[in-house]
Amino acid sequence: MRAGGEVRSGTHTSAAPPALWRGILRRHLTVLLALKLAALVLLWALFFSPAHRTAVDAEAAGRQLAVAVKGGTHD
Amino acid sequence: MIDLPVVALSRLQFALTALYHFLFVPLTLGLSMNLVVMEAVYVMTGREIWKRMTQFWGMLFGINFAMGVATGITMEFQFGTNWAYYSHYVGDIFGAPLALEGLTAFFLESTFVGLFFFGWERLPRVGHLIVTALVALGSSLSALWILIANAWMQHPVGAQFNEQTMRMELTSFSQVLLNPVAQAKFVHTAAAGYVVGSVFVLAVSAWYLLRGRNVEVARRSMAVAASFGLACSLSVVVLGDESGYLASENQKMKIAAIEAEWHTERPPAAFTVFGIPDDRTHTTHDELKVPWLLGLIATRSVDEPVLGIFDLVARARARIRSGIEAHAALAVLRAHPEDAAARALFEEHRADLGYGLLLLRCVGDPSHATPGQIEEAAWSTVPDVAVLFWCFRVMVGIGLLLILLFATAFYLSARHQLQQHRWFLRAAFLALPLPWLAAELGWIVAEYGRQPWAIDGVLPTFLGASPVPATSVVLSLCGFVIFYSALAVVDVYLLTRMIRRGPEGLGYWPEGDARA
Repeated sequence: MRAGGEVRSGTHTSAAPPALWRGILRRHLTVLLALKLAALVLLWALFFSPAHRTAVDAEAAGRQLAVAVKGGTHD
Repeated sequence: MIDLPVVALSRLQFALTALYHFLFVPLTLGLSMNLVVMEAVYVMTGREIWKRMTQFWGMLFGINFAMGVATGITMEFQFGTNWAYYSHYVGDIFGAPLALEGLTAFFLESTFVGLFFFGWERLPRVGHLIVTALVALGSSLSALWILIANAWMQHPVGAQFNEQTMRMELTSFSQVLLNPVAQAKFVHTAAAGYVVGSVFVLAVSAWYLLRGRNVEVARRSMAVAASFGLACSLSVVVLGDESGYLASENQKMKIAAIEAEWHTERPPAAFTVFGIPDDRTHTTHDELKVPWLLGLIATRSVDEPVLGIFDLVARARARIRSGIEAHAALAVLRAHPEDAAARALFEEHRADLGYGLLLLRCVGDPSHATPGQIEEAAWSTVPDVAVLFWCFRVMVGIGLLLILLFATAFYLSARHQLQQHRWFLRAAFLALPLPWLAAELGWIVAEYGRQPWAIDGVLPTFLGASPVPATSVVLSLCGFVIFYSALAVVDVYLLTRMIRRGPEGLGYWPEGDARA
């Protein structure tokens, strides 16, 4: 218990003063933003980092579109 | 060979993330504008209650902003990994507005959000109002840049294909910027976002009035939401009509599919209010039609036809044959850039290259395509008619319902009779999910209706996807569903909790009207 017995482990009784509510909301949002950032970084590292990407250049795009340059093909 | 299940999974992943992202965006857009109206009244009248209202709704805006910020970045993750060929092919053009969105709108919005919350006691009244207006401007600017990028996918202008680099290159940034499709999409989408914000304020205020709580704040909030929402919901219809008119010029197949217009009718075409489209038999059962209406809406004339799907497929067939020529010439030019004959042939058929590429779904070399394969490719240009037909009608139906809702709220609010009509307050509260549903359906109509194209007429969707392992896409898809669902649940939980506390419970305004 803290804050004069009004707030217990992050939960609030209806008697919690308004300013305390707003302060707690601010803290919750800060923690949630940090968690969200961590989740995004984790998703990126696991599935979308450069190691997971297909390198595409003009040659690769040519192969994808079936117009790859082959030596002397049109002669 | 293209791995079509992976393409489908990548599409599903992108669609889900876009739809999830768009749960947060319109509320941010709409609430920020409502905040500007409320604070402007405070600055003009000096009445404290309007400042407290702005702070209360601003806190709800802040929760949604915090939960929604950066949820769009996952789509940019996917561009690089799942859509590597797309990124190579059109990244030069598509990337520019996305970068500008980050550099201008996002930073503007994020910087001034901080000032909005912490500047109440530090800035003069007008200064703080300007900050709030800049937050709203930043939100709308962000939508503008994203929709410029999206509109380019619907109507690619200001770019040309370079056969040596194998990518589209920018020829006119002003054309991309001033793309008429972008302008129409932006005003339509932004107005729809403002409607979402207004319905949110209206529904929450109705809930307070039903319980007899925060009556003074709720009454005033409803008056703002009703008047702003009515103007915006009417704008959505007018601007949506403009968007549809442009689509009838640039994306005729999308319009034909939305209207389940299988055959070209004698102008002016009738509008199908109800029907059961059948994609297999290419017919619509049990049609209920309004004469002339479609012709007037789609062409704004009585003598121009609205082309039907069969006629558009015939056009696609001809363009596919032309595209085969372009593809063959491109293959020669890739090996011998100086070949004048190939160059001339390519230039003659350049505009149809994308149609030729549609054949790569069923044949390795388009020049070897059989008539059956050409027919199959031509019909692949038809999106799912039943889905578009119904999504569009439900979206429009909700839009009309919301106009009625706002008009009633406006009338009752002007006559100070809101509290006497509890049936209306209940209806206003129950309407809360409707604008989100309409907004999501609007996205489905716009994006699913663009299929089979990633870039309309230029790049088929299946050619833009990367050959990533299916398990990787499935796992990341599950990760996104968990991530976004958690965010949505927390967002709703926090909003509900703060709404239950209300302005009086959060110390923004006491019960009663002592300081009004």
